[in-house]
Amino acid sequence: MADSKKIVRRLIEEPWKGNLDVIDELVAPGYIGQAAAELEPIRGPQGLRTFVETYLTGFPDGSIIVDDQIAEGDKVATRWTGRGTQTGEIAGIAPTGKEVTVIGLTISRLEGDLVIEEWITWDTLGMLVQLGAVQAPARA
Amino acid sequence: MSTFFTSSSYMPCSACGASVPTAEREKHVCDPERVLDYRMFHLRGELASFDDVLAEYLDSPHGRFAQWLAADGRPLS
Repeated sequence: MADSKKIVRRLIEEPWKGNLDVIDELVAPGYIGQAAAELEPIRGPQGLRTFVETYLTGFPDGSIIVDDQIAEGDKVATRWTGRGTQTGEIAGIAPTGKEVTVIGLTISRLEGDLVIEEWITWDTLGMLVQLGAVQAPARA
Repeated sequence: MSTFFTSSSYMPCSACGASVPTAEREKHVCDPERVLDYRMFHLRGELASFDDVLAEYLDSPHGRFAQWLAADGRPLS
């Protein structure tokens, strides 16, 4: 089995560098992604591709950098930072030209060399605050 | 609602749009090129419609007269 951390790092970082095919290479057909901000689970490689493309539409220059990883058994925990400029519509928000930075955590479960399940939690509210979609009260 | 829920550790600079750590916003210095890009982005609608607005003006009585004056080498005012 290849290095599970490397597999997950590639899956998290490379789609944002334009290599969406890495999803087909590294994601199992029965993949299920549980993302806190999504109403429904992300299903299969095509579901994950659509999920990433949604955010790439809003943030065409978007990138994700893996900050840290811990592996145990068949799971890898990854802490990452995402950054991008909103020049496209996202979540009904018209393009603002603002750059946002969010942090997130993904726990990935692998079967062999493929990712079969993930739990994704990221700072959705922080993105909305940074884009001005949610009012941030003045600090005292 | 507490500010705890609606603050972020990063916020975009209001002048240039760059993502700046909230704790370092006092130290942030805008890149002039980025400021220009940010302003141009917000003017993109006007820029996109500039050719149409110009064509409409040139086809108006005032625009046609301005063209006639220019062709004759005389100033408009």
